[in-house]
Amino acid sequence: MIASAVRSLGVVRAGEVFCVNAQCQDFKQRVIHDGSTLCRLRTDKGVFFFLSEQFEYGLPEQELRKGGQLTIGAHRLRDGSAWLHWFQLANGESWEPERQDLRWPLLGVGLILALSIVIFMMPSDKPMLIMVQTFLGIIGTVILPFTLVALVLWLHPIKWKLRRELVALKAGKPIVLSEGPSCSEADTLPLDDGVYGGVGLIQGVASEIGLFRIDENIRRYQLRCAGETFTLAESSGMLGSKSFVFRRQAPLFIGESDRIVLLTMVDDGEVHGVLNLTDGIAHANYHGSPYSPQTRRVAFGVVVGIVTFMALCLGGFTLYDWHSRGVGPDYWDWVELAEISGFFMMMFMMMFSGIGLIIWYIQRHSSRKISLHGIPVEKVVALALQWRLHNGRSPVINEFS
Amino acid sequence: MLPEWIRPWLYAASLCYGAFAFVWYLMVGYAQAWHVEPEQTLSVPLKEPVEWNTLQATATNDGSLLSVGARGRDGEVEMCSSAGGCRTSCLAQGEVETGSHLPVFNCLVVPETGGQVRHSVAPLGEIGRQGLSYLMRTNGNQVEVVGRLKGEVSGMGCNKQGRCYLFAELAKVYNQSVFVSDDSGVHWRLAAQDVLDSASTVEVLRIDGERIWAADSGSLYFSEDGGSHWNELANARSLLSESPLRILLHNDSLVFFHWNMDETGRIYAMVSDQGRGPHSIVMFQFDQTGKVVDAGERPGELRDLVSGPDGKLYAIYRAEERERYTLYRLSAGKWLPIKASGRSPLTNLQGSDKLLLMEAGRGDGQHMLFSRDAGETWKAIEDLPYYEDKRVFDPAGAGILEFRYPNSEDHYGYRWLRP
Repeated sequence: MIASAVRSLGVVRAGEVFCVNAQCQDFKQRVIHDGSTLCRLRTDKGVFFFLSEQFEYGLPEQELRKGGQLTIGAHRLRDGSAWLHWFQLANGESWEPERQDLRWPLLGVGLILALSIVIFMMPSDKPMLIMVQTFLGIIGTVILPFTLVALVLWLHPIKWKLRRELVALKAGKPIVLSEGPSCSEADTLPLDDGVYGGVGLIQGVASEIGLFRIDENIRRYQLRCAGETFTLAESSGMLGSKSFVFRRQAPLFIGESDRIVLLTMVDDGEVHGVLNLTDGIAHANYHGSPYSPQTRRVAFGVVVGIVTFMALCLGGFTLYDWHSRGVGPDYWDWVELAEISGFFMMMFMMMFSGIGLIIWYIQRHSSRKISLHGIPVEKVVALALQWRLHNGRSPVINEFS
Repeated sequence: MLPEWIRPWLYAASLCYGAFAFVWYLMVGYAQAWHVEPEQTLSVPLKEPVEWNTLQATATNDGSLLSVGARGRDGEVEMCSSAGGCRTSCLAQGEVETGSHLPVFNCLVVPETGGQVRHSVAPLGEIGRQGLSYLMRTNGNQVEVVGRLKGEVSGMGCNKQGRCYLFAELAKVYNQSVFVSDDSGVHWRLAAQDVLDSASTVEVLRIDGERIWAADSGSLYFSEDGGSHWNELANARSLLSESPLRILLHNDSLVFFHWNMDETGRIYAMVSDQGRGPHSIVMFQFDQTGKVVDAGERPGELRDLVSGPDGKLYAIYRAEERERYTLYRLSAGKWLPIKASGRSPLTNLQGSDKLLLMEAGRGDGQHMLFSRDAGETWKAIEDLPYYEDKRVFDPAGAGILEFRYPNSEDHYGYRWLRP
């Protein structure tokens, strides 16, 4: 009931897997900063993104452009668009992600197991043996994260669910198809180009899109709109062609001839908002603002990550201690564990509070310098939100920086 | 999310609370401070060097008796002990009256003449007997030096009726000399000399009228005539060597039993395993006649058999399998848990009729705990970081008596630290 109520608001669950029969409306691609080719496929059942490197073979661009009928397997992104995993043409020809090579993760697992057995079985009564144990432990520690990432990628449920659907589809078995929301193009803003309360607004058709290199490492999106040239930051958080299962945010994509609205701030002259009328997706740049959803998510992730890591370490050491003494825990063991946990929680609380205060102080001063007229980025965000809601989209703004 | 303006205040509040909790809980910020009383000065200079590690105290019915050894030379004491040149007042009615004139206890004994003095460990014993010891008395507010002797005080004990015994190894006297007082250590007379063969330190377990139970590291002694004659009721070392208990005895002379008696009259003799590997304790239990009523071995360590309020017996037990510390009261062979602290160590238990005091915690959280109600409730008090030899638990004054440094006239300062 709650889920249906949420859906009625246009809010979707990011990461949700679905298959859909759709008709292509538009297909565009562009090279992004890491050399990959980001593709956007607009269909009558929504907008899909993918990397051409996901697939082993070249894309059937003609079919994708000329309104071909496709069956698509994808997972939802936050704003209602989706990341495409595979598609099948009406003639039964299908494009699916390259199968992951399992040799390396399995080799990693085997190596870690072997090293663990050797380390625990090896006597540690001589300095040389302790050094060997330490060396082997370091090797295992280095291998572990790579192996874990490879395993998680291989075992990710999104991947397996969609693969099952594709196998069923190929075998001619019926699969559950989603209807999906119909997505028409968005309306233009009923405003003329100009400055509104410190926010500049330019509407037009994007052209001459490319990457503008500032230096070796920094590249910016460059485009022309309404007769002017603009550059804006490349969308952050791009993931490699193999790890797209983790993606939940739609990438910043402006295709040639897309109708767009650029929102700038008078204070810094930067483009802070991009409303793409062609695909209905809004992007905002929070630069100069004390907080942004992305930094909040990153900060929250760091906090959760550190706390989880320490909890795992503490749990591991405690279990090892209990195991090595050969007696199970009693009341005092639990009390001690609670005390140590409390100590760590308190230390973390102090640490994060201190860091929070420092960041607050820095941001308070830096944001004042940027927002000389006190015009917050939230104005741009509010405009973008209103536009999304007005066009029947969910109130989700993608962030780029 | 929270309003933006509240965030810095929330951060600051969390930081303040964290700092407070760190000091309050982890560093035991709630431990109360000791009440330090003004420093006073002994009216008598002690002959240097004073051996403060020999400082000991016992409660009387109106205060405490203290003794301390010194390596200094005192002509009057030496003359009295060797040539009999003692003041006549010393021998009035066969007793000494302690006081500011500092009588020499050696005047009460008859020095052995001819031959070498017999000792179980002759060289060490003879060195001890060449020293000087001071007897002091305190009423809980002041300390006075009230007597001297050439030799070492082996032990002291008093009961609530004011009967006190003082055991000493004196120069030119075989074995132990026993002095007795009926007025809490004001007047002393000789009860016996050349008794308790081979005893070096004597623990007075109980004084009941003319009956007295005492023990050294291996034997339990009993006298029923006010200390004049002594019987060895039990020898724990012999019992141990004859018993099937598995304690590792590398060297009999290194096995030191700790003795004490509970309020029911049960006597306990406890020794810790001297060997490597897991610790264990062996405990013998005797009745007042010296008959073994129980013997057993138990893993772990038992520390500090201490008499507390109403003669009840307390000990800290450290369990071996899981490291756990528990304060027990031992009564009629039963172990009654009083306070458990888990893995946080409890050590250095001190007891008197008014107070139980022990160290607790570790690291920055180290502190002391005291109880005025026989262990029912405990309060935390700041640790005394340098528990030096110059401090002694005052069994009557419910605090710690701390000797300070001598002034320009060699008069030592002292003060009380009270919870």
